[in-house]
Amino acid sequence: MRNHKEETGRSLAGKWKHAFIYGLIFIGGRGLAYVFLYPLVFVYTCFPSVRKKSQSYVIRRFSPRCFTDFFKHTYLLNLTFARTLVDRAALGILGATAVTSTEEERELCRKLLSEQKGLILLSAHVGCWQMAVNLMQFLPGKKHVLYYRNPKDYDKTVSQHTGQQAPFDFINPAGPLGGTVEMMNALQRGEVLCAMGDRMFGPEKNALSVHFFKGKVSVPYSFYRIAAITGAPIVILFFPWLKRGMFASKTAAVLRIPDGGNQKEKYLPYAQQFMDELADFCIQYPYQFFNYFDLWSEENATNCRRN
Amino acid sequence: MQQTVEEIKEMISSGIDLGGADLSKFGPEDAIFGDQGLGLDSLDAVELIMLLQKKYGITIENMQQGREIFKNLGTLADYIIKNRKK
Repeated sequence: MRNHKEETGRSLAGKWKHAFIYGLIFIGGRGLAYVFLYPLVFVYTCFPSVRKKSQSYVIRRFSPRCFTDFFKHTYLLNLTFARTLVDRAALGILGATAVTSTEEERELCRKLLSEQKGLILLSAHVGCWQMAVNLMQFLPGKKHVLYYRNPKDYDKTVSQHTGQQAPFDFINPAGPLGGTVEMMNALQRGEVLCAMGDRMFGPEKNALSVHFFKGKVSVPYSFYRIAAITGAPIVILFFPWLKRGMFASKTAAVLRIPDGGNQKEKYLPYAQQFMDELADFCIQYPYQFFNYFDLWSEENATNCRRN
Repeated sequence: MQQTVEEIKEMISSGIDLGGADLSKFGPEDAIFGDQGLGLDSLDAVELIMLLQKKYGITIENMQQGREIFKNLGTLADYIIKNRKK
């Protein structure tokens, strides 16, 4: 049951298929694109190679009784992912997507940011993570997103659709020193850093092994260490897709991490808390976990780190 | 400059976990990051930047600048000598 295909961030569909969906959104809104998604996702899910990408999660999360059950869960997972991609494109093309967040949540983030130690918004590859940062104008100051973009990823970002400047800067984790200088500087200037805490990028020695859905996975510990060094609070934040064109922001926890030196084991409880919050999210929103590789496989964890 | 190089090595060995590696054999021409030289990685860079701030009061403004400064022990020592505030 091991998926030996590595996660690359590369789009599954080709460039012209993306263009086709974008055209549908432009002509008939996201409703028309949604209609096409049902057969399109069904066809994709019929390919064993596509099912294999998410099978480790589907098996662990749903314990499917038979192939039909397994297929159904995989289809629903892929369909939700496709919907979030359509919504992201619709945000860029039509400018119409709603995020529901409470005033308390917004106030919390503003208050943490006013401490002038920077703010780390730690999320995961779940829900509408790809477009959430576009809609966080309520946070003052500059925002930075740690993001590796595969050249063969044909999904356009929101700013690529609108032709406007993105409301944030990208920090490339594949860049010199993994973008750490930029991250540190941003936080020390009191700015916002958005990052993903569920996927490794970098050498093995910077990974922590934590429990997640009946197994152990490797996650980065750099964010916890950077938070400890800079004093920046971490807000664990997820963005569940609710319905057509609407998603929510959900603050799961706020972490304040004391400087425990460079022994990574001292940061294990924080990484575990993050993954526990993520597991809770997956229980509440089972079809919104979009890590399309075997997170539990040591081989794939290594492959992912090499990318 | 040699004295500053020794200071940097001392700072690194006391502040960064190098798994017991012996730094005495390294000189100004040895790389700080990557597979060659000291072999520090991106997360070690975070530690090193903080150590530089604490000990010398210097900051690395951007990665363009950082790339030159962190090229090897000699370039870092040079930068410290010219820009130290402490």
